[in-house]
Amino acid sequence: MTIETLDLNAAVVGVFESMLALPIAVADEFADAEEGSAAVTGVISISGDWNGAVIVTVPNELARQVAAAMFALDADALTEAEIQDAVGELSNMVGGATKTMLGGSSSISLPSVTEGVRYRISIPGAREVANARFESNGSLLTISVVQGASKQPIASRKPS
Amino acid sequence: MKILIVDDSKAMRMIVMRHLRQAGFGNHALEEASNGVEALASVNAGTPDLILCDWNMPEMNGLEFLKALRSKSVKVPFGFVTTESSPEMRQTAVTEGAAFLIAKPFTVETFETTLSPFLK
Repeated sequence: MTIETLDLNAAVVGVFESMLALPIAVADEFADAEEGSAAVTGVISISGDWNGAVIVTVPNELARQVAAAMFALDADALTEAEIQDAVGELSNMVGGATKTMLGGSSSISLPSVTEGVRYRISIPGAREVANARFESNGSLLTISVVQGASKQPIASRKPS
Repeated sequence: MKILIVDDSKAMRMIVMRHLRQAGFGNHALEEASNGVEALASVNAGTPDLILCDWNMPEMNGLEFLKALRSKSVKVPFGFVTTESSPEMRQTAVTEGAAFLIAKPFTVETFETTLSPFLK
């Protein structure tokens, strides 16, 4: 499989349906989140035969639902650390599935998680090569796959 | 029987434990560790009957943990539960002595089928 035929839908739907029991549907036409909405983003870097990253952005409300499903806890009882852990693991599963679909010899990083309002994840030298949008319980989940311009792993690239 | 669950994500450890219960293995004692170093300490304190281990973890990853066990001649059945499910990774797991590899995302049925030979 190449990046052109990457099946992000299978990766995301598998995680939501088989492990979280949360509804999920492809949502190409779903409206963007309101500007200024709070969200949590998990990033997994892939390095080796293919160098890039998978970026999973989840609105706060959905991140809380994902964490509640993973921990089997009431959403109001969750800590910030548990929500970050859950989004990190969600990103890990989507990133791992992406790496497997791309084939070749590569490894994935541990997840890094960012949260806040009005932030932008930027990886110098990388360009987006695939993306997908999903709706779950009225929230928009987005996946972006970015590829580095060189063979150097993007996780170790230093800013010039 | 005692099952040691090793994963740096507490969320994933919770999911694995829930899947074990749903697969009918809820009567076994469950222990947790968040990386290979903690897991080795747990094994040294008392060898489990089965280890379910993530691959990518800080401090000591799952493959390093498996190699450390085998270098000490600890023969406990060991399975990976990981996103690392490429044919290359599966071959590496088997070569180093893993009994199986369960790919994330997984199902209760996968747990039932894969773990039944190891859990009475």
